[in-house]
Amino acid sequence: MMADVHAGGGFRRQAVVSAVVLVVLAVLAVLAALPIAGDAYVLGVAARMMVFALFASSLNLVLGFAGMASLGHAVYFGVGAYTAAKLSLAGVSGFGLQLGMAGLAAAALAALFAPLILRASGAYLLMITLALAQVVWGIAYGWREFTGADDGLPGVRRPDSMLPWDISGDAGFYYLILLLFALLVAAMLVLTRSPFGLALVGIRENERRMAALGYPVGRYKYIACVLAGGMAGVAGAMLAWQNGFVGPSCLSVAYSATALIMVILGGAGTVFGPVIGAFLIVALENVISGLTERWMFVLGATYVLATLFAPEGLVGLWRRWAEHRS
Amino acid sequence: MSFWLYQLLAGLSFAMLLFISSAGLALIFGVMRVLNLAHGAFYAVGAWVAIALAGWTGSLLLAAMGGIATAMAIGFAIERILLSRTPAEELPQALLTFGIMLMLGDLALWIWGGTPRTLARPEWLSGPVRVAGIVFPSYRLFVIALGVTIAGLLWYLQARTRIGTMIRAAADDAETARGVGINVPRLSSGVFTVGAGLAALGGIVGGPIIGVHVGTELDVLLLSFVVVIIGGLGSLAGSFVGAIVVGLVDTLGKALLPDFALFTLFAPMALILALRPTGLFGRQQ
Amino acid sequence: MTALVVDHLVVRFGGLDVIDDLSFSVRAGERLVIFGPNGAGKTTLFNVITGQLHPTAGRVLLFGQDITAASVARRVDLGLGRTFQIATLFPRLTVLESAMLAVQAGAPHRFVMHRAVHSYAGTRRRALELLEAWDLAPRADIETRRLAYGEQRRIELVLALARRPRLLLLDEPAAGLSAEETAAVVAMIREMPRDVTIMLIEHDVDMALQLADRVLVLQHGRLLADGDPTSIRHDPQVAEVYFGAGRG
Repeated sequence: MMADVHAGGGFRRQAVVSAVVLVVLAVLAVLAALPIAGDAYVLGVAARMMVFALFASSLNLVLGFAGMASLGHAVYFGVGAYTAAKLSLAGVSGFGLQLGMAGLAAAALAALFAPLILRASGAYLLMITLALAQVVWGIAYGWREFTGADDGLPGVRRPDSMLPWDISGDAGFYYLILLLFALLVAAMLVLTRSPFGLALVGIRENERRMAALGYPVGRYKYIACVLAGGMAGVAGAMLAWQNGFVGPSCLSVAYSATALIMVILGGAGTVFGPVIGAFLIVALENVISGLTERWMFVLGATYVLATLFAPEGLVGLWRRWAEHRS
Repeated sequence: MSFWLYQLLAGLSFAMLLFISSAGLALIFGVMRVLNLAHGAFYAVGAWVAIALAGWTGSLLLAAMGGIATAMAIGFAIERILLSRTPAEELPQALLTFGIMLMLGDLALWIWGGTPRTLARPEWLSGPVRVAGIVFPSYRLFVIALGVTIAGLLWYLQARTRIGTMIRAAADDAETARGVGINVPRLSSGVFTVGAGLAALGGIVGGPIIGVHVGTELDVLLLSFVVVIIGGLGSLAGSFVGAIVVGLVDTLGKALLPDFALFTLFAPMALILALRPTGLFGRQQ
Repeated sequence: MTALVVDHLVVRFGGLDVIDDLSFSVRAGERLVIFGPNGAGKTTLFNVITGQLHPTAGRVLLFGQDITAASVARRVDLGLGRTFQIATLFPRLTVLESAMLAVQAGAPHRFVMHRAVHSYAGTRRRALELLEAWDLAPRADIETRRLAYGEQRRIELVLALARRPRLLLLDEPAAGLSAEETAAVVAMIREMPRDVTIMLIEHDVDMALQLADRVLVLQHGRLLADGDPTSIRHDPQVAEVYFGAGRG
């Protein structure tokens, strides 16, 4: 799983690592070159892919690394999106401020929810995360004056940046998303290879043993929840800019489940798995929706097929294949 | 006074509809430890099929039987073909059944389109009746009676029959149940099928009141979760009490705080999970 | 010096006294084996000492400090280590990663998020030293779940040693092992430095007597006998309740 945590290992592993590095660089290069060739539609899809990749990665931090499932992760995504939207509509246009506040608001909510979540496990963990998210969804759906209820908040504008380039245009905005995406995935890479990240994996693998070794398991899980919430909030702010609109659906169980399937399809507990899962699902959505109206059917079938045939995700399938071959 | 009586009766009839719709979820979790996120889809299937059959045949009884049979057949196939091949862990089961819900919901949209529909109510239940000084729809009284009857039947089935004993044994400890010769896989198929049928019955009973629309499957799933969580996952008695709590709270909430109906629905669920994670009637783990 | 004092300990589940007014103490460096039939309260005693379970009454002192109310983590910091009845490891981590995790548990950098694990050369070196010392270095890069159960048990002992515990509680360290694997585990425990005090729950009488300086026999949560292995072996009361059926 985290076979590349430590240096050492043989020639084969180094070859695999270099192959991964090459693929990552190639994908980044394609993403960076996209504005040259692609039109606004393609840029929009690519930006959406990256936003959802960050959302899925934030869930992966708790699910894949700390081993805590959630049926309500979209609550942080949605709260981040609403925060950015409210700030934008209130005339606070700074991009750093919007991003920071969105992340903080979502992290604060996670800090509030985490004590309840940490007590549960198994089916009850899925239920409590769903219940808490539904409470917030209920508020967003009901509080017309503040959240616009089911009409949501239209008219969210892209933020002003202090970046050396103009982000009011499609390409400029796209590069902002790309920059944030690259930074946050890099941060995930660093985090998951750190002592903290290794401890999270230890907790996922064997919580009791970690406690017996003297790790304050609860504190690790708490921090993981807050970090994951904050990261989802940041992704939510990016979604609000990208869509120009925020509605209660982005807090819904459907979004929480979407994040889950992205993580599982790509491969939980790996940094690139959820990114791959999110890219695939968003791409598939756009391709299928262009061909037929039956996208929801295809999405549902994806859940079923992934659960039955790729329980460890595409990264897991690939690893098994590579192992088998060697 | 009559306002409160009306609210009470309305709340109770909604509560019994909730009980019928969610009992299967509790039963399935109790025996199989599966969180069946496709539960609401069986409700929707029951309602859609019954509405279509009522249109063709003109018989509500045939329509109801057809709706229930269709949902049971789909439930049986899902349990045998898909669920039995899924690892016995919460997350894969939740994802699988969520996917099934999406597929069934989209199939219904494809076949019947996006227009909300309701089921006709039987002729003899179409009028209002006078109860203790207020005028109340007779169909809703029928729902209360039906809910109580089904609760009684399920209680009898579970407490007094051989199948009930097997169900309780499997719910207590599947390993031991297997040891004393209970065919747990077959029991699971049966329970899942019956659970799907109960949900479809809920869809049919609810057909004249709330009808069915795009997204019904998710709405019903969430409502059912509130009910079974408040009562305690996996306990039929708990679901009955949970349904009454939710039915009354929701009806009152809609009457008093219409904007926050969803909040008043989900907040008690979160509160109960926070204070007593296994629900009012659930066993402590 | 006294490593552990258990003072009038009571643990009650429902109406049942699983541990019933138990008192004893353990000298530093001692090898203490705890015998007793199933349900005698042995694992419960371990769980109280390690803090997973809180006693109904009584006190536990670790190297002179009252730890009755201390957290699990605090007790580990004071020098307590344990293994479980069934080997519980990190199945998808390699042996080296597991050892590093164990070493890192006591390090100030265990919460660091911005630096790679392997950049902490000290942690890595100490983990490798541990594996070398116990002949597990050739397994360093293998995922734990791919190892034989006997090796997993040895790794569990290594993990428990990583934080240099002063009192180590071993709950049936050889349960489920073949004779050969058991011999390896026994050898390993015998090789452990004498400044580590060891308390051991063991059902295998021969193995236990090979290791013990002193034996406690528990029955129904009470102390039935306390003495050196030879005297315990010949205690008629002990023979009756414990060795009776098995060795008759």
